[in-house]
Amino acid sequence: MPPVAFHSVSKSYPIYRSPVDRLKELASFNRARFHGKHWALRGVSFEAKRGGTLCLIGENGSGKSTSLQLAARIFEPTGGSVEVNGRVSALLELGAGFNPEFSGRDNVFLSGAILGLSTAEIKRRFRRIEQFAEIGDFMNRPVKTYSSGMLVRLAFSVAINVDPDILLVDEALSVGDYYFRQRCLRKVHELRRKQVTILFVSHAMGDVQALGTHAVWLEQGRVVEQGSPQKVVRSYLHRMTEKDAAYLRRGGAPADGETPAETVTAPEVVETIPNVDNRRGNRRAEVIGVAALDPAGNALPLLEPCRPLLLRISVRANERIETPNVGFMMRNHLGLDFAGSNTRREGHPLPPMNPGDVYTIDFHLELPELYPGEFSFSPAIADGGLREYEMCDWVDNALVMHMAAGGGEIYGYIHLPCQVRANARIADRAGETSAAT
Amino acid sequence: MRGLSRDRSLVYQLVRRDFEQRYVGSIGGWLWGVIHPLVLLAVYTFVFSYAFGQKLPKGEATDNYPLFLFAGMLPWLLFSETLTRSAPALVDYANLIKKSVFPSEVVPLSILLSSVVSHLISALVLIAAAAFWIRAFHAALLFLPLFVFLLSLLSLGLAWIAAGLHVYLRDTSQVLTVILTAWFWLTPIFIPESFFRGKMDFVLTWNPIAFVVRGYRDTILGGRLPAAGDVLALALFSAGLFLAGALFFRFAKRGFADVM
Repeated sequence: MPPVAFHSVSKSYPIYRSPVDRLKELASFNRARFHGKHWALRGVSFEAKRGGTLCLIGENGSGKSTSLQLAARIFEPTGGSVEVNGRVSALLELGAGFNPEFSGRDNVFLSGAILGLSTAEIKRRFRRIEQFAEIGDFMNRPVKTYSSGMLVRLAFSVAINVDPDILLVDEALSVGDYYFRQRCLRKVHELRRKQVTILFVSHAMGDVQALGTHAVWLEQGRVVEQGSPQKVVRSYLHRMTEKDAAYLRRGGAPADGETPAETVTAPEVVETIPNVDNRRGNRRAEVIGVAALDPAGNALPLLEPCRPLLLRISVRANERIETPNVGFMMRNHLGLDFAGSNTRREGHPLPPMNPGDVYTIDFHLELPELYPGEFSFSPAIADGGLREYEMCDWVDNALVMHMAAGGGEIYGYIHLPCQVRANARIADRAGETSAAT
Repeated sequence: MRGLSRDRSLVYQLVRRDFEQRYVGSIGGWLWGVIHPLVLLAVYTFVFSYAFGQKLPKGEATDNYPLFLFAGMLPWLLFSETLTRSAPALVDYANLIKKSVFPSEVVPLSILLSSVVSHLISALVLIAAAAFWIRAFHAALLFLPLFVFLLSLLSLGLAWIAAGLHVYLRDTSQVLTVILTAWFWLTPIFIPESFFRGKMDFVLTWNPIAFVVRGYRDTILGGRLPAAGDVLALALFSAGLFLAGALFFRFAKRGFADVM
């Protein structure tokens, strides 16, 4: 039995002019129609695996939140069926599920009771909930006096501490501060280890790629694509870039007002792209090659920690590019955007390009000690500044390389350059101190 | 309504909170639950026994007018309080009803239960007052819980109807206030039953609250066993209204999320 499965689910929202119309309709046993219709979902099917994390992505109004509400059984689908097996804990809109007049404490008991916990069970969990929420004395004040941050902290704390089988999260986490987000993500990983199934809606593609095991892309209530998060996010971003370019063509051109550097001494042009997962951009300029080299210009078969690395990117203009900006994004084995830069960011603005011009840019990097695994480089060229730009060409994961293991263990993703000094006071020879490295 | 037993813990939370909200934070605390009926009783005594010298006709449960009045007011207050508070209550829970799986039928239920708790405190005051004042303390008291129960069923049924309607028609609470005022005077609370007899018999036969009021007076003040016919009629009324309310609420509930 899948924890959550949607079988060609449709949902339409009736639009009533007045509440009485709804009553008339009920009284006529839905034979009479007193409303307009808005279709939020049409024929949506997907299935979440136990212990998996299913991400719903899509633009605003695409039906993501409706899907979560259906999974939470807040209302029934208009067509199709929603299958839910297990205790569902939901973090939907901010403040949903709370009575604003009640104190935080009362709301904890109320939410717990709604989820079917007995008073004794909630009492047992109360300290944990209080500790995780970290809202202090506000616990005894009405929820309507809370800031949005406090609200989401309390809501999340309740949601994860009631031992759900299925956790639904609707962007709520984006309200919390960085510190809270970190704790939440850690908690999410912990829940996943406990085989909790998670459905979440996010606009943060980094989170989707890092956390998701399955992604569903919705557009106007229909599934456009579903599958591995890496793949679906790529197509989604591709579409969004196209849309943005179309918007820019209709009006609004960006400018950063920096003066370009006078000359560009072009090193050897590279003309191979080893791998193309996906390309997006308007192709007014193109990436024509990328290579990872040692400082002498020889190709590197393997990334090595603490060694200089030269990332060479060649681009060609097909049309005139006023303010070219060439850069790259480095991703780790989780698909996480790990590090990136571009010529603008490094304070090296490039002069305008004319059709046919080829620029080759060398990024001289020194890699720190990194968790050994696959790393990829995605080169790109854009026209514009750091914030407003038009993507000309972005090649996803053009270069995939393995990172060799360094000397020692890597805790986390990166080992920071570090020196240790210690001071020891030896107890049995009082008064003397000795320093050791 | 099977769900109501499943939501025990939720009902308990709501009742506890409602009750606390009324008494916690005030210096007198739950003592107000005793002080309030005592003061009411004192006022009735002053106004009706001393100021107006009101006399009761023969055949009533007692000739003590203040106690007579108080015994009539008690069930009425429980009934009207449950209804007036339940009617607009769902709107306070709009957030929960629209955005989570919330069994909204527990809201009127919790209001009723919380009112019953203070009602029982007042009833104890009345029983004590009757025992000391007119030496009325009889085995018939054993029947009082039956009347409390039937009154609760009846109140809950109507509270569900009022609360369900109010979601769609926001005038419901206003209309309810008007209806309750008329209903109050058409119940033998201030006016003894003998006034209605002969002229307005429907008040005594079709008003379930009249049966409850009579039951309270008989058991607490008169020491008379309630008539089997009265109990049966009241039980039918209560069960009928409870069922009607439950069915109506279940029916109305389907549209709540759409219009709140």
